[in-house]
Amino acid sequence: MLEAESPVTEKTAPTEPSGNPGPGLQRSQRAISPRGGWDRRQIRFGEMLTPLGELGRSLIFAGPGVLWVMFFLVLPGLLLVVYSFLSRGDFGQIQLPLTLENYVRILGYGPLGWTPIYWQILGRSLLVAAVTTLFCVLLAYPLAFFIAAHPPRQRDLLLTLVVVPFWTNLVIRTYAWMLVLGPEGWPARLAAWIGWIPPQTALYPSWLAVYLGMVYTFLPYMVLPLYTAVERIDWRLAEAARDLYANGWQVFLRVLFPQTLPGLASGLILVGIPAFGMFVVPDLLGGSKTLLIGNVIQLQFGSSLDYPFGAALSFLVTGLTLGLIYAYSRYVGTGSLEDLV
Amino acid sequence: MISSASTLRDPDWDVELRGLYKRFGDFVALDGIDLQIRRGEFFGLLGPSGCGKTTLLRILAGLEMADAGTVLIRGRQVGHLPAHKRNVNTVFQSYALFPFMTVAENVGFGLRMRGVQGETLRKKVMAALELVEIGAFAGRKPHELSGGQQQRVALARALVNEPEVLLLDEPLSALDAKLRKQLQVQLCELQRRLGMTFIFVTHDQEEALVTSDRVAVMRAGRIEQMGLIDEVYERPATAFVAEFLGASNLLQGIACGTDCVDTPLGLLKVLGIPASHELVHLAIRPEKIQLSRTGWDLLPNQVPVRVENLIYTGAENQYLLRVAQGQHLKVTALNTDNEDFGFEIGESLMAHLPPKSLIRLQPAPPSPSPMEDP
Repeated sequence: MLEAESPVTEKTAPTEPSGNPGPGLQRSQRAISPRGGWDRRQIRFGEMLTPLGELGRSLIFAGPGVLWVMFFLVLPGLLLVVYSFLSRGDFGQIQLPLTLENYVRILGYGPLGWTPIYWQILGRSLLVAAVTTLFCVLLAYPLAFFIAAHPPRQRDLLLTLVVVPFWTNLVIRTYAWMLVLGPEGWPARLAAWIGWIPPQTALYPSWLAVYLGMVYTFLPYMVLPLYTAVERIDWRLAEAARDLYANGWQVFLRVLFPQTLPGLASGLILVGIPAFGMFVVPDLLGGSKTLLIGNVIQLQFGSSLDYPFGAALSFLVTGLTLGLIYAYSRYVGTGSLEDLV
Repeated sequence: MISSASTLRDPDWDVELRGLYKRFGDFVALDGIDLQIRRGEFFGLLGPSGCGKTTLLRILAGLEMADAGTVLIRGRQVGHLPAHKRNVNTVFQSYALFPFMTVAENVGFGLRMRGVQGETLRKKVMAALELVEIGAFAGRKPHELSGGQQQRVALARALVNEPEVLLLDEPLSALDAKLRKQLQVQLCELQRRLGMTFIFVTHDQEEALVTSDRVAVMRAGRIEQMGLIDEVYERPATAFVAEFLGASNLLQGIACGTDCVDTPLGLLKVLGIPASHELVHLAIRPEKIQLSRTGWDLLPNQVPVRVENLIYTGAENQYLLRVAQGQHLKVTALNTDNEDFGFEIGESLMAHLPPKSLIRLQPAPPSPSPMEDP
């Protein structure tokens, strides 16, 4: 019955600004045109500012921060790039000549012939980051909805509980995991009891321990942005979806989940990137088999005293990360990183 | 708890509610609602905010469950069914359009949930969009549309499912007055063409007057009066209805013989008053009172008044008249070029209250004064 042609169509002309071309259109267009005609440069921040005044103000407000970033981030970063083309002296000093050897080494060509070791470590790091992020997402979704379902006062308490681990240093927290997973802890005893590990052994070093530590470390970074998105959910849309025959699962998938996407996008970045470069957790809870790219870089600046090679690895990881973020932001469809983080 | 008695029913009733009761904490939202709505009727639920009209609509939609009572739609018990299993759709006050979907995706949502796909889906969606004149915007996102266009999308999204009953929860309240009036008329035309049962919730009495065939005026969880819209307007049963639907002058007096009431305005002739000495509540609409400088010969119910205030609204003048006894009368007069128009403030006039326009009201129990929606 809906296919019948409408007499309403024929009788009335649209009056909304962007309506079909019709008698009403010209009038409405004129009505909104003054808005587009304003000179935007003249009124900014509610004040009349000349371009020069605006520049001065930006320098005063943004100057200190820009200087800080320049001196402590951009310059050292550039220094790192320079280092990566220099050579390591016999005693770990950084010296000429300029060389591409560090990059050739990453590709796998060394004095002992070709080895894929760094490719493997890179791939392993990406995998660990991906799995960690996945588990964080799976755990954070129910948690975010759980917290958001509480009255405001209790929400604050629950959020505080999520953030509490930040009050302690990461290394100390990871040591705490070593205690928990140690031979005397009940998880290890339980594992021994069911015959999974020999008695009186610890649950670390192992992949299980690494993933436990990683997910534990990064879960808050996923929960907080997701919670922010969940809290803003327009539940009236869920009612509308129910009214339009969607069952519980369909309501979540088609109406609630899309509303959490901004939070999820931030969470993926906040978890995925640091997880990719993580070295504390795999160092303490994993063994040599769980060596990640972060550990390799740490070794170069630590016991190996090979700054140029470490610099080359760092530069590569940074480049890779930026490339991934770029691809990600293109995929997610936001123009700037600001929208993501 | 839904009682299961499904007894004989009129085959024309599309919606039947019996003894509906709903409480939120200590607040009784619905206090025994009995209501029948005919198939193909434009039914208005009218009342001030907090009267329970939206709760009633949400119970019909399945978004709330009644604490007690029966909900029948086309003779079927639906009181226990959740919203997504009812063949009823709602146009929400906030529209509740899905912002991340295009207009076409929004409108197709209900059909997709019911497994309609491909060309059938596309055709039905386009037909619904054409029906509400927004076919050109199928690919846009809701935020790219004006309020009126969004409202049409919400309407199309509900209509496309061809529901047994369409529920409209103050769908026009977010629009400006001119567009609202236009859409009221279009909504009526649409409803008549589709022959679909519309239940329209509004706190705007004018909107109810324009759109509805029948109305129920609600107050504090009960139905105060129900009937054809013109009947309710012409014969309001209580002071609340008389003042909520349109404006009224309320009077009290003591019956002083057949068709005679002793009021502060003097002895008035009122039709249908038995010979007794009971308290009588009366109402008269401002537009039914006639004014004249000279008065009339041989007409009963003439009261000398003085113009205390005057509001010129273009189409009509609204007078506030002071009667000698300190009472006030509101009178509206159409802007004609006759001599009974255009009185000045301070002028002394005669007001005529025609006996057939004086309505006897039921004495209503005292209750909180109605609060207007913002």
